[in-house]
Amino acid sequence: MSTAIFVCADVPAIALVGADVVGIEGLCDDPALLAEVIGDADRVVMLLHQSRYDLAAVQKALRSVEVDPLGAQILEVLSSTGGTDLEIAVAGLRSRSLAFTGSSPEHAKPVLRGEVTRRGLFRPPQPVYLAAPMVDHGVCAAADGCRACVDVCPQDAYRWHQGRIHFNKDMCEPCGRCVSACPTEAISNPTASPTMLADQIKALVGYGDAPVGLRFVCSRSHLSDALPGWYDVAVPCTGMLPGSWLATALLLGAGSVTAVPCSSGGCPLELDEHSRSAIDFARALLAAVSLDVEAVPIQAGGEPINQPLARLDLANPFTRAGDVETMLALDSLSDEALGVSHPGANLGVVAIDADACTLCTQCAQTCPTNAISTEYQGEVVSLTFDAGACTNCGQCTIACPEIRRGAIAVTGRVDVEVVRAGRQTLNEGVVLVCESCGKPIAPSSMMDRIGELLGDGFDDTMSYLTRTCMDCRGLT
Amino acid sequence: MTDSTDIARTRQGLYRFLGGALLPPAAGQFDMLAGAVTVLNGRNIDMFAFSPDWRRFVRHFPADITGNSLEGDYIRLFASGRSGALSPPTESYYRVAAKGGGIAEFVAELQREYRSMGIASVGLDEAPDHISTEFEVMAHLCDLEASAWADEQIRLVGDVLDLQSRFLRHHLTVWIPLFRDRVHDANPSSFYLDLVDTVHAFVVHDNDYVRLIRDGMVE
Repeated sequence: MSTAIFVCADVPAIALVGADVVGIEGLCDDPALLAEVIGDADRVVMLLHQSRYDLAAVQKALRSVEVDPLGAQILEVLSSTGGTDLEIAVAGLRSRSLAFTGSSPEHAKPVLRGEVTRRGLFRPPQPVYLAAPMVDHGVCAAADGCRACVDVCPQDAYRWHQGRIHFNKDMCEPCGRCVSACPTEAISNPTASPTMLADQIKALVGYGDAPVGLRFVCSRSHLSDALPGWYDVAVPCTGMLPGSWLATALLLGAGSVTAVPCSSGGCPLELDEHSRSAIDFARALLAAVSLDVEAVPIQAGGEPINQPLARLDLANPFTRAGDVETMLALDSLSDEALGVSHPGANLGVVAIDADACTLCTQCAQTCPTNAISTEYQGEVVSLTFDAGACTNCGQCTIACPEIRRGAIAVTGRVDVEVVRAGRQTLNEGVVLVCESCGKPIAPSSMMDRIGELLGDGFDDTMSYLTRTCMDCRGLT
Repeated sequence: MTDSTDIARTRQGLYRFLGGALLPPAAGQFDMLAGAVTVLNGRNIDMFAFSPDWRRFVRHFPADITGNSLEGDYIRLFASGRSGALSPPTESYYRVAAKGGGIAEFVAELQREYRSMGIASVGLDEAPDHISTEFEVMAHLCDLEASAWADEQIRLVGDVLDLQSRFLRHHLTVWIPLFRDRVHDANPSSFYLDLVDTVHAFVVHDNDYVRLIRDGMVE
C-alpha cells in the first residue's frame, strides 16, 4: 500500500519530507494525465486548483488506474496558500489516505452535478460519486428495537420496519449523523473512519514543534480562507461531530480545535446547531476540569493557538470506547472530578423512578449497548446500569411503557465517578412464582400495575394471574 | 459513450456479458466473452463506480481462461455436488430460504412478472430465476430503453426505467448480495470470485444509476 502525491504544476511547489511529490502540468484540466506516473500507488493525495478541476473527471481518472476515488484526498489549493503549512497539510492527508481501507459498492452514491434538465438527460453529465453510509446488519441493534439512526437523520433516509433498518440511499445527503449516533457502530462511512481521522491528526500534530490548530470542516464546503497554523480535518458534515471528538483531538496533541459549518449560506442540512452544540459541549468539558476553554474557540483564527494539553496515545479515538477513554483522560489532567451535564453529550446517565418502574425490562431489552441490563438472582430481578456503555441514545425512554409516569429518564451527562463505579443497580423487585409449578410469572410491581390499570372488579382475576404462570394457565 | 442511448447499450452489453459468464462453461464460450471484453472496454466504463471490479475481472481474459479449466469449479459452485451446489445462481434458492414458500410457486410468480413486462423466458436453457435469465431480462429492458432514447420517446424511456428499477429493487438487489456472500464462502477460483464481485458491484450501481436518471426525468 502506498500513496502517490500529485500536484497540478500551477499550484505552489512544495517539498515533503519522505514523500515524492509529482508535479503534472495541466492536471486540473486533464486528470487522466496521472495514469502515466501513478506507478504502483493505490492511494493518492492531489493538490488541485479550487475552481478548475472537475470532480467527475478526477474520479474517472482514478478508477482507470484502479484507485478507489472515495479514498482520494483532494486538497483544494488557493493562490494564497503554500510553504510549510501546505507541507504539513499534505503530510496529514497522506497519513489519512494510508488509513483508508476501501469502500463497498453500497457506499457509492451517484449524483449528477449542476442543473440537469429532462432534455439534458439525453447527454447526461458524468456522475460524481459521494460516499454514502452503509449499515452492517450483523451489528445493527434494530432487532432489539433500536432506531437511533431513524431519529437523527435529517433527510428521513432511514426507516425501521419489523426489526430491521431500511436505508434509502436516494434520500441520503451524506452528513454522517447516523454514523456518530449509531450506538453499536454498525454504520460506516469509509471516507472518514475513526482511524483515518486519528492518523491525519497525529500526522498534523507530529510534523513540527509548533502547536497546531485543527478545524473540523464539512467535506462538501469549499473554504476560502487559509489560516496560518490551522489545518482542516474533513468530515461529511460538522453537524455529525460529537463534542467529545473535539476533546479527543486536543488530547491527541492539537493546541486548539474547532468545527466550521458550511462556509456560505449556512448548512444546507440545517445542522449548524449541532456543530455549535459540539463546540459548546467541548468547552464545558474543559471548564469542568479547569482547563482553558479557548482551546476550543468558537471560531478558528484570530486567537493564538494554545500549547497542547497533552499528546496521548489513545487506543480507540473517535469510537464509542474512545469517548470514554477521552473522558477518563481529561479527568486525569485535573484534580477535579469530571462531571458535566449537556444535551449534546454522547455519554448518558439513566435514572429510574422506582415508584413508576414496573421492572418490565423493556428498557434493557432495547438498550443497544447493554448499558441497561437485567439480572435475576433467585426470586429477585434487578435493572442494572453501566454509565461507561451508555451513549445517551434515548432508546430506553422510547421503549418504556411507563414513560408518561416518569419511570425512566436519560440525561446527557459525563460523570467519571459514575463511569468508574461500573455497573450499578437502578431498581430491583421480587418476581412472583407460580404456586403450581414454581416457575417465575412476572415482577410483582408489574402485576400490581396491571391490577391498578384494570381497576376494581378484577380481584379474582388478578389473584389468579399472580398465582399461576402462563404454562399452568394453558396459554403456552 | 456520451449519450443515454450509448449508456443503455453499454448496460445491455454488461448484463448479457455477465449473465453469459455465469452459464456453464462450453466450447467457444470464452472466446466470445473475450471478444465482448474488447468491445465493452472501449465503452467508457471508467465513468461508473463499478469499473475497478470490472477491470479486475477482465484481467482474466483472454489468455488464462478455457472452459475446461473452470468446469470443475463451476459444477462445484453453481451446478451440483454431493449435497447440491454450494452457491446456486438462482434467485429462488435465496428468497425461499429467507421467506418460506415453495420454489415452484416463486418461479411461477416470477414468470407472471415477466409476462406483465411483455417478456416470456422461452427457449432459454436455464431456469427463469437463474442469474443469466434475469440478466437477459434486464438486457432486454436496456435494449428497449436504448431504442426509446434514440427515438426520443421520453415517456417510453420513463416507463422502461420504471420496469428496470422495479426489477432491480425487488429481485436483483435482494438476492445478488446473498449470492455473492455464498460464493465467497465457497472458496472459489479467482475467476468466479472476481466475477461475482463484479456482478454485485454492477447490480448495486445499476440500481442507483437507474433511479438517478429516472428521478431526473421528473420535472
